[in-house]
Amino acid sequence: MRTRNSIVVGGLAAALALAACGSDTDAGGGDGPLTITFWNSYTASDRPAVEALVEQFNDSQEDVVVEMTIQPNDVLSDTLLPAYQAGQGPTIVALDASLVPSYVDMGVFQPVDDFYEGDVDAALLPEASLTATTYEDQQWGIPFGATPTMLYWNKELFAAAGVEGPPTTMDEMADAAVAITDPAAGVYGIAIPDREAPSVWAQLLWADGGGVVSEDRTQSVFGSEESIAAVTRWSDLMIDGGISPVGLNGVDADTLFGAGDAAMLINGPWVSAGFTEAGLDYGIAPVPAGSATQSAVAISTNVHLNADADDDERAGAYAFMAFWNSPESQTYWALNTGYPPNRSDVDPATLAENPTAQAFAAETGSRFYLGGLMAAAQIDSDVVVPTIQRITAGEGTAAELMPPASDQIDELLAP
Amino acid sequence: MHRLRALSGRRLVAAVLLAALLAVAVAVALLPFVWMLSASLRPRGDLIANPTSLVPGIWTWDNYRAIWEQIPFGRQLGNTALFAGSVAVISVTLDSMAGYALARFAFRGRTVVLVAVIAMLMLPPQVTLVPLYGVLVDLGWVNTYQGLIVPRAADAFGIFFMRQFFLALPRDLEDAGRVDGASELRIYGRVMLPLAWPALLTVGLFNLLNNWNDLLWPLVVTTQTDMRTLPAGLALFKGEHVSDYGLLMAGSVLALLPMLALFFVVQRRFIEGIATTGLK
Amino acid sequence: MFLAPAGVVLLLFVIWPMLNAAATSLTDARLIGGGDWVGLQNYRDLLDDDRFLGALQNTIVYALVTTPVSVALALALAVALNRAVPLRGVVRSAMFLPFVASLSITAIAWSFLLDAQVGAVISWLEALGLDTGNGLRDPRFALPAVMFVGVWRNVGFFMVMFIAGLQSIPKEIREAAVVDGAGAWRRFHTITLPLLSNTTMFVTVIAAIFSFQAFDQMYVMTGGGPFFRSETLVMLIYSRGFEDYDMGSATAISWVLVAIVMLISLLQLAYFRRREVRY
Repeated sequence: MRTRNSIVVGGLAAALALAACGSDTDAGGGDGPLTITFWNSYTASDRPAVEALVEQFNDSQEDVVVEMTIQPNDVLSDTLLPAYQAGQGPTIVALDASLVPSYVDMGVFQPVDDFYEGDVDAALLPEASLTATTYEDQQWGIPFGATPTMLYWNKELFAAAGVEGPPTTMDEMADAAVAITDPAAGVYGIAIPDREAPSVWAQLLWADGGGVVSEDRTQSVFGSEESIAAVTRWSDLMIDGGISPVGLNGVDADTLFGAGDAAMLINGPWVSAGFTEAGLDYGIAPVPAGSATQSAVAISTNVHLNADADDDERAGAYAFMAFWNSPESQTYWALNTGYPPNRSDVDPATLAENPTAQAFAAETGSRFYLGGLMAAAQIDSDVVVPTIQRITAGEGTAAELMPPASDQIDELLAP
Repeated sequence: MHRLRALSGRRLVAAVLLAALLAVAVAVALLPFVWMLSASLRPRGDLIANPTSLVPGIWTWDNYRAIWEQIPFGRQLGNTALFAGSVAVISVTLDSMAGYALARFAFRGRTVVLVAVIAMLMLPPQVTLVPLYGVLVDLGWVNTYQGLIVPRAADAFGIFFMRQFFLALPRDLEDAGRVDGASELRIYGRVMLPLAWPALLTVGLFNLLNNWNDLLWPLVVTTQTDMRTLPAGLALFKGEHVSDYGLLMAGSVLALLPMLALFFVVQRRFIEGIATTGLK
Repeated sequence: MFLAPAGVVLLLFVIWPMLNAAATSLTDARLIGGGDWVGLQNYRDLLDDDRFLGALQNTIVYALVTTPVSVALALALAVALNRAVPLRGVVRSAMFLPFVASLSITAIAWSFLLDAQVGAVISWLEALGLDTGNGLRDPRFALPAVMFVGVWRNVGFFMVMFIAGLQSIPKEIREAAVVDGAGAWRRFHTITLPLLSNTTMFVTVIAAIFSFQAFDQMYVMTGGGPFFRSETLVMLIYSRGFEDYDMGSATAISWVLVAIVMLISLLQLAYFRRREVRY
């Protein structure tokens, strides 16, 4: 039945005289360079740097050609999965580390442990990325873009309120936020988003000894005394003190800080160029330390190798990733995007032209939020985000809503 | 002109009220486009610094210039026109044929079948994407224009709309044709289609717009950059965390213009229709 | 013969993938690969899934409000703009413009305009003394806001369909009514409305379907939040399927949605059937 339909439709198509524009080139045989297809979502201002480095790689040697396809982040998985299903997936793909367990489980990646036996020393690469791409004792990814979050602070608003900046502890951050907040002028001490951004709430929780899941990823700590205390503290400051609008997403928070309406923001390096263009007088400082620890959130995008890739393709992919993670490429990457270099042996002095990259390269303590968990997306979007939203909207207290939320997380963690 | 004089006071009030209501409606309809235009005409820093203002603090054409350098805008515009245009033409043809059949040769249960198909279109495209892509791979149509176009060549919306339209046309016309011994195809082509142009335009416009703006489908079917359509090109200015709104909006405004011009022309046809009815 | 080409296309590229999805809804499939047969378990799970029930409720509210509102507005606009009004072509084009643009782009503009802190529209409404709460992020206003944008988007298109319908009303009938001296309202009520019933039926069915399909503006403007207050079934399907990779659940919800829409469309058709005009 299906074959017959195919013939009919095929005939129809031919009758409509639509010239076939087939993909006949790749599948390289003996002669000519090997083509490596590479999909990623480095859109917007990161795109030029990625394109330039891929071009440099293609020009640097004659054996491998990287053919890159860039798509927006939310479309990438929509197109990736049908492609994998049909055996047409890219040779390599760059994805957020939180997706690793799901994709590994679907069987579309192959381990890349042997990459680290080559020229690139794993010890030089970001630890948070390597940890987040380890799943079931194997290494499934090679760092592509990695950065911690940092605290952006508006020097003008701090000065106007007579507050010394930047804050180095969570207590100082809270005091500064309260002091700067001025409802009459529409000024907020800080912009705390609850979704679509590197999790700020995770950092607030970690700082004071709370969190979402335990270090060994086996149980929820969202209902712990420390977690409840941290959420209570900051949600009270938001509801009663009005230090931040409630329910912001990542873009909302950036918008508020960019407009000079919020004095602090915790985010990655990608926002800094826009703030500079807006003429904002701001500083970048480490995420303040809490009573328990100082920790930023690690953002980690890694390259993964298609399970169907053969030895040649693997070698080609490794060659590209070795080039990508070379000191020269990483310096170029940092200078042009503000991301810190993936390698710890890049001399910070060479980054002087890009103060953002220099600042971010100096931050070392960062943890990946919900890494190595199959249910990462559900835990965050089904439980953590709505619970925080309910609490900050005044629909219940942290003490009421977090213990049942914690039970939900435990259920999701159960194998 | 004599009609103006004939307007009584009450009618004048009604006319003014109508004009005022229409003005409000137009203002609401256009508001986001004012924002888009404004964002496309200011540097990024200005939008970041003054997001509330609808008037740029600094005016610039830079975004409109840069868009041609950042993406192969002309090429992608051509691809979009080819994709959306062919889909519109082909689907109008197939839909009107099917709609005609359903309106005229209808038997019990046909409507239920049709509604079933329409309801099935409710499945969000992402859900059927995986099996649909499988079909394309079986046909060897990935990265081809037929792969892009043929799956869109008929749609339940258009069929349903054409059916409704043909139902309302008088039967006498085709009966006359049948008496003359004309074939069904001839009756359809020579008698019915010329009468159906408002409906054909509506369906064509709908399919044209749908595909003109579609992001996901062209991205799934084509991985080659030189086959990319404009929405895919513009999406490159949208980032996970930070978007370049100036370029995104400049490109979107440019993508809008051909469709807007087309609609303006098409709706003139509606007016001509009114003129020929002699109503006033 | 007339049906065959369209039939083949629909069968191959719409119905077959859909049946495929139906099969998936009976498994515990993640995104790809088969998954194991679980029978109706995915459907049973929905019965005590609060997030699903909330999304179902939001979807119904969305459809019940936006369908009649956009149909009525569109009809009013069509009738008004089918007469000799100054700048008629420009006004029609302006009203149609929202449908021309990609909703995922215009929704970005609306997000900025309706932002509680930096939104121009919000500041105007506040100047009028209205309570705008937390704008788009307010649990009370999130759903109404995305409903408004849904109506804003579609009304121009429905208007065009009504205008096309008005064109098909034989001129003799209207001329006769004018000669008879029937007033505007009477002409609308006794001639235009009954003769438009085919169009009205179609527009209503399509408006209902559009409202069940609404996705882009929620995705861009609210993300379905705060705490799922503006999450509709299609949002949930996307989230389950492509964020949680739970394809079994996503396809099951899809089929529930299909069943609802089919039922509603058939009811609407049955209702209009009695009023349908045939020659």
